[in-house]
Amino acid sequence: MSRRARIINPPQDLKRRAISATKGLNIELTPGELAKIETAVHKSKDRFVGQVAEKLKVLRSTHLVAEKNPGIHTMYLGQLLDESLAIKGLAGTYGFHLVTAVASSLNDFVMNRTAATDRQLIVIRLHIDMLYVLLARAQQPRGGMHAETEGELLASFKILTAKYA
Amino acid sequence: MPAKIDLSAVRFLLVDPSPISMELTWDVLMMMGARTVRKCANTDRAVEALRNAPCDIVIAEWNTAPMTGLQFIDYIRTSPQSPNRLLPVLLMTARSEQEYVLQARDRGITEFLAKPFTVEGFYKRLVSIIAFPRPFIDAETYFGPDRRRRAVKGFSGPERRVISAQ
Repeated sequence: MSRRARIINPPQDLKRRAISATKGLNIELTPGELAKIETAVHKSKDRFVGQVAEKLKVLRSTHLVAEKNPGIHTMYLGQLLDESLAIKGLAGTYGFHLVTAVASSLNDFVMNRTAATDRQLIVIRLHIDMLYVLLARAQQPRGGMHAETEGELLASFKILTAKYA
Repeated sequence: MPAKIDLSAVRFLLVDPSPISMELTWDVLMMMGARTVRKCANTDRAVEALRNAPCDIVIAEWNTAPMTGLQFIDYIRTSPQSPNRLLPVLLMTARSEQEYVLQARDRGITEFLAKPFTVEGFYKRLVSIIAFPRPFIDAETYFGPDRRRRAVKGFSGPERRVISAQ
């Protein structure tokens, strides 16, 4: 006979300590409070762009080696999987939604892959180059692109990744 | 007077292998008023940190090592060595597809936050953890916060968990 489920009341200690009548943030953030917290994100935007640019530089160098040496494909694809997931997860918080979309496309493309053909490497290279261009134009809204161009770009990546999957 | 959330009274533990991501979360927490935020780049250090000092909320990335975020939750919820099986865990990940959300829920996470996140979404998860803690369910195949968050309209049957707990 299976064991009966037991219900455990949640501890209230944290609630008692952290809920205050006078100190802290409103449970529903006011626009002023939200704007203040978002300054933390804006302040670290340049740092994010710089750090991702460095990572892309490293990926580009490794890519050149991978083109000549299939022996490092598994390592390189693993590196791409981790880095693209990290970029996908962060860029949107800084307002770089197109960067998130391209990183997501790259992440989907390399997932479960341990080797790549020459054409698949070109697809990967195009993603890395596009991420680089978008970050280089980070100060411009939408990476300096019109909404229409942005849509066409993502559609092109979708076709490309499907064709060489 | 409406209630406020004072994050300076909350002790956080961040577990994230990505320095960029860790810094962002740390910056946002500090701007929200948090003062005690420990950072761990891997789960071995996180386990050690949990043993060494008390913590109120764990904020963990899914993509961690040597344990994955899910294995780390298993450690907290089910390991005999766990310092606090009821510890709230907010799991953050760029893997936001439904299958991942369901997997995390069934391992006993308290809250799930898909990345990229917004400041408001992040804060709402913290409010939910602090102000509206859910009861825990200790069942044969599950230990974690009650997964039933919504009352199903039109359900008129018995509350089986209450009956079986009596």
